[in-house]
Amino acid sequence: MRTEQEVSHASRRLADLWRISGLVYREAMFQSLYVLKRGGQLPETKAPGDFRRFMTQGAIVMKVFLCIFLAGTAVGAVLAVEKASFPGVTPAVAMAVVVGIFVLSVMFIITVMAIDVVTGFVAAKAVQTLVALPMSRREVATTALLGFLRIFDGPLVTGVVAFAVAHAVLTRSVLGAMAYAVGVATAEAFAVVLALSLAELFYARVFNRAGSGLQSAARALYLLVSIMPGVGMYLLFSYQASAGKAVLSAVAAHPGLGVALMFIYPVSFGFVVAVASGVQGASHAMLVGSGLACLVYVGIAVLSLRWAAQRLSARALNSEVPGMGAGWRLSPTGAGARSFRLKIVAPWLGVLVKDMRIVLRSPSEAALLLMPAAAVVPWAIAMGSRGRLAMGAPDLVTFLGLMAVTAVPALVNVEAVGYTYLRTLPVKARWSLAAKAAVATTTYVASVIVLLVVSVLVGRGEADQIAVFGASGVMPTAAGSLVTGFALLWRPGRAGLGGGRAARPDRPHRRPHRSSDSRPGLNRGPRLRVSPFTSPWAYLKAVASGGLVIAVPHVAARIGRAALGLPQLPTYFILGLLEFGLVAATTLLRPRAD
Amino acid sequence: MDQAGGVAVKVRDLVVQYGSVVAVDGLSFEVRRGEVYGLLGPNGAGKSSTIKTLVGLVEPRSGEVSVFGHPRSDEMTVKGLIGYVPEDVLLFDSLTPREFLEFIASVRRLPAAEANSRVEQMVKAFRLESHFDSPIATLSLGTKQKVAVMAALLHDPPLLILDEPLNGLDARTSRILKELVSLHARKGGAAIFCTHIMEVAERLCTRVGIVNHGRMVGEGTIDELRALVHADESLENIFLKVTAEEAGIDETIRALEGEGNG
Repeated sequence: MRTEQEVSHASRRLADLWRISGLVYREAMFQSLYVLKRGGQLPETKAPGDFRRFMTQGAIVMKVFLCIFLAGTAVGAVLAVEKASFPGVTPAVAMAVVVGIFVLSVMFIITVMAIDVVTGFVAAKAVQTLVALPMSRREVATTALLGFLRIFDGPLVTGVVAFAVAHAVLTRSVLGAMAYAVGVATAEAFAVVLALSLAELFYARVFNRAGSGLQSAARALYLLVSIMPGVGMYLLFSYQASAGKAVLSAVAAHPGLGVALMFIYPVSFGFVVAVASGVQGASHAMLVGSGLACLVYVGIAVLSLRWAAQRLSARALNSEVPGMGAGWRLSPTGAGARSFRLKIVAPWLGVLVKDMRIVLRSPSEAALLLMPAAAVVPWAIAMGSRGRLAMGAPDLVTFLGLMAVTAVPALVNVEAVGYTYLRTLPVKARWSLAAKAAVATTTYVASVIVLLVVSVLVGRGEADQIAVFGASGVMPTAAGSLVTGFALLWRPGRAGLGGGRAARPDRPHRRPHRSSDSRPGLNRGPRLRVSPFTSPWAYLKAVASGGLVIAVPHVAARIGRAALGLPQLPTYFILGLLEFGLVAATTLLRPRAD
Repeated sequence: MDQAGGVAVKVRDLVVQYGSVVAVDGLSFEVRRGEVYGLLGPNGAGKSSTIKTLVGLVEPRSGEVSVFGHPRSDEMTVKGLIGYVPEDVLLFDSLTPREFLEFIASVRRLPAAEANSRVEQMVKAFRLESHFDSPIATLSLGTKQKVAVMAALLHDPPLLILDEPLNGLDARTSRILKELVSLHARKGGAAIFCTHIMEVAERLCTRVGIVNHGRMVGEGTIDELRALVHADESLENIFLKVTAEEAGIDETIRALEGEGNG
């Protein structure tokens, strides 16, 4: 037996803790991919060892992708800065606004990309395992912190370096590049803290709460807060040029606004970059004003990081709340139920209710579901400001339909690890199909209604067009949703849920052999995979098929008008109706469904 | 309901293969009404693969499987006849037990009065009152297992398939579950009970099938198995004998003791 002296050893070096933190990070990553609703994208034919390797490689690919994305954004940012000009606004103010928008983009990108892994990190029990090892409390806390930082390491460094280098190369201003680097680093600090806060918020207020009435309303509110960075990123990337122009036009109309912007995050960093780069129109007053504001923001960022570090450490060390993951450990409400009566509904409605409950408790899935509604926002804003719409009503409703169809894979994906259990139940594929198509179509209808209400309120001429084309678009959208769901859930000739390639018989050309895993004590035998999807390729095929179905009546009606002089709306409506009938007959009503 | 003359489950020449690995290799057995059939075997022997084939999770390479005379291709009927407790309790974590059972009752089209009555009885029996409206993710392993058991029993199925159902359960709930399974068999139902706890299998199961390397290496009542190994042994010893796992156990223990003393 080992002695106490052998067990209690000299404190480990930071390099050792960094190595150990790799385990914590990998476990969090695994959890975020495997447990937190990413099961749907995992391949199913992998052996357990390959599976782990796939996940590690997947995380590296994601990091590399994020680094490339940040680097590309950095180049785009600097090119945008070079072209930044607006009548009535000095080049310095134009640069400040553009830089500010890109700094904000960095914050959203990192927050959105990291949120799932961070949530996995706070939920993982990886640090709890360390508590049982002969490590000091300080070492456990440091390891937890290092493990957390590993989620972001490459992208954080890339962000700072890429923006600084791109700015230095294209503007030949080293000082400007340094100022840009500070701005990006501050944004990254805010992103890290924001991701941690949202993960905690999600676990404490969304996932860990159930019930009805006020609790549900509060949970929905917290959920909306949780998905804000995702919506923000989407809007910022889709409309950053418009947003920049809108701000610059406001500054041109009200020059005093330019002074106020010096103090507003993140434009204040843009002013410092503009002054440091020696752009025309930069002034000492600008430097003083925005410099002071930036100092305050840097201070807030440092304090926020300290708060995050303290929180991570406290969670890891608190003996009352053992372990990092347990810091956010969920606990039962403890309140006894007063009634045990169940609300039993029709099977397809039961599937729908279950899906909605799961989706509305998962920020990443809810964000996907709300994306069509988010897509409406800029049009609603454009209508509100009586601007010119980029699309006509027929194109617009088709676009909203295409957005809505992406909700179907999200709804299939929410099954995650529960999909295995689901397949043991007498759940007909058509119930699931109907439920998911109904939700996607409802999302489309909600988007159209928002647009319609805004157009009516501001007295736009498009209101009637939106109403009639929007109503006619319901059928193609429902048909597209059914086709997407069909591609994911159907098994030829079977009524039950399909999808995935879980445990199919081997291909005949392979020579079967006995598994050495059948030895007792070595439970390394093959396990059933849990994923409803076969691959991301299958996902893309499903969405593309649905999208095609949505687009066909629209394109055909246009061609009919151009080539044959047929009225577009009736043609669109009739084709949509026929298409829905055909799709419903071949999916929901096919005889083999029962 | 019984269209196969008292046979609840019939498995003939079942082969299950994962890639190039053969998990079940020509397995055959029958479970009759009124039986609690213990499906035993070492880790990786093919028990769970067999069960997953029965509940529709795994497509067999070959062989026949029927439940109360219905082939497994008639999957909606077969799944409707089965109450299944999986080995890994992977439920929908963000739902509460109430919401989960509402979903189960809805897809099984249960009459509200019947479902509510059963739920009330089971919640009280399993002492789940205080957790009924907590998200499943917040529950302990044992409480999650109770929820899975409740979901399996909710529709009063004629066939129970329980894969390590006692995992994490407290003594009281284990006792209740074992009694429920026995009662279920006495009422004419059938149950397949997978466990590594030989004492439980010995006491609860009316017949036992021992699987090793995907094949049936011993089947019958405990007395029949004793006759098979020509000794008046406990089920644990019979199990170790027929799976050829007995050899080397004493040497291994002595080696570990020696290392400990050294």
